[in-house]
Amino acid sequence: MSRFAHRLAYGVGMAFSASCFTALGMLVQHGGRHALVALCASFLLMLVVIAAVSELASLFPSAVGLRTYTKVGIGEFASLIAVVLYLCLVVLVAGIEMRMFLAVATHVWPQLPPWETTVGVFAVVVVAHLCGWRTAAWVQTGLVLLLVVSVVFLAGANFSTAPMEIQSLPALDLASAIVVGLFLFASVEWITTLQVRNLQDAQGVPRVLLAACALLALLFMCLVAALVQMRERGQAVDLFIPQRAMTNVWSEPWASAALVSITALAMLSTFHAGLACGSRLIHMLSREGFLPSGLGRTNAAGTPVAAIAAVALACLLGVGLVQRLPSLEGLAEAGALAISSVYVMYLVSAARLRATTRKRAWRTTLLPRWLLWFVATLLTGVMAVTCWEAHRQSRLGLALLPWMVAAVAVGLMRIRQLRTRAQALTAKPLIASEQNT
Amino acid sequence: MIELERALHAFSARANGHAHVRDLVRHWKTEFYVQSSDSLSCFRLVLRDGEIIGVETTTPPIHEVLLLRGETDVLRAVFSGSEHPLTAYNEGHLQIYGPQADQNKLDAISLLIWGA
Repeated sequence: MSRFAHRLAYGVGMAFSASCFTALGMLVQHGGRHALVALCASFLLMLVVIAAVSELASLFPSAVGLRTYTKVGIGEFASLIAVVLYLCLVVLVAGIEMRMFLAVATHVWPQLPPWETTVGVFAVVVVAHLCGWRTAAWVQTGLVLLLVVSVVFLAGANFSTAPMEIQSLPALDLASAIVVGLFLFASVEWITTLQVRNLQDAQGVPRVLLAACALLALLFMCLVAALVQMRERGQAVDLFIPQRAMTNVWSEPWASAALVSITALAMLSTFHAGLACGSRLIHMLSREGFLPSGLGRTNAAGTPVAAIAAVALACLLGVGLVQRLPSLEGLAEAGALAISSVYVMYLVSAARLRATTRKRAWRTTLLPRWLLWFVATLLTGVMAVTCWEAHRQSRLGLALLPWMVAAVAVGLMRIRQLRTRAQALTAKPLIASEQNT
Repeated sequence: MIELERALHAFSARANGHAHVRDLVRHWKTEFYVQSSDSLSCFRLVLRDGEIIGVETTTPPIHEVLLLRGETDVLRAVFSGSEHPLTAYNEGHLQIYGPQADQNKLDAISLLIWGA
């Protein structure tokens, strides 16, 4: 049971980031009084993606998630691109999350030093990971539990205030609201990259994914309903940081404390989960010879220390980059393009592997193959519209940055792998050397 | 199944003859199981003082142990050296379960025995 809770915490924590509040604000802005309907539609769409990921997880129970799924489903090159896009997303999310958190924290404490705070947060998260898998899992579970309780409390507190004169909100752009809603659930599937310790754990991954999605949907619905109610009452809500208006229901200094705590919990749980999953991908790429062998080093307890340090450093660089940008819109588009690309790859892999006779413990019989292709096409359409919008706003370069990084990185990885293989031919492993003689 | 058992015995003999592998597993207190997913046969490699002292036929483990699981042909190919375990793992043919430290120790052993 505790393992189920740990995995659920990683899934929910990774998806429920500080920027989710901004995304919820956008969803309410686009969806108006139909924001809840839009959120339900996003949830249903996400269920198709999750069903595809679950099916892949049951096909390859102990694999490193995305790496194996896409490698077998659509090939080595596409798989490497997907993994690098995922890693770019971790860096991007770290940058955006820290910026969101600093925006909130410096609003409450203007003297707060941004760089010292950033380094402090990273140090805490890295130390939690270095203490071993068990400690890290309990830290993540604690963070997510506190986050869930805080969010429910926050939404509930805003429901409980006396209703004022109701102003009708128009439904504005439902399609945009659905797309924004879809990205609220993004990254929940990261749990498939975590190390599996026994067969029962592996077979439970589809259930964890479904539970994580359902819990997230419930939390988001509470917040959206509260935000819609607040706007209908004519209350001014800053939709960039909507949690600020929501915490104003309490008096100072509790309001400021709640604002910083909830944002910090959302940010920390995302950082923590991102570091666990990202480091496993780096470790695996290193073991395969795509990255320097030093990144595959582990400590006595088996924790991939070098990969954890590498991800933390890359995220720190990401924070530095994001802090220098004037606006986050280009990065939001970059993130949307990267995650949509990865989801398309998941769906295509699942659709292609449906045809194989490989044994699987779990199959979504209610989900026809054409639906996987349909959602993949839909997401490709979302990517095309995002590119067009970025082009119109003259920020296509920034939006395509993860793809450019992925193309360069995969090229370098292939060169490195060829060199490693050439060196391995001269080495004499036990079995190979015996066979040669 | 007999071929898999034979491959495991041959592998044990080769690993025992490798000084670095013996050093690596000298203080390794683990239960190491190999399970065929198609025939459901299961073997336990008994480790003592840095050596594999036996390969026993056993029932599938119910508690958390180091477990390698795959189709008989895949396991035979891996233990006879014709397929690298990392490749088999990455392509989803081989499943590895167990505590993180044991999985990483196994990874280090595979580097020595099968090469990079």
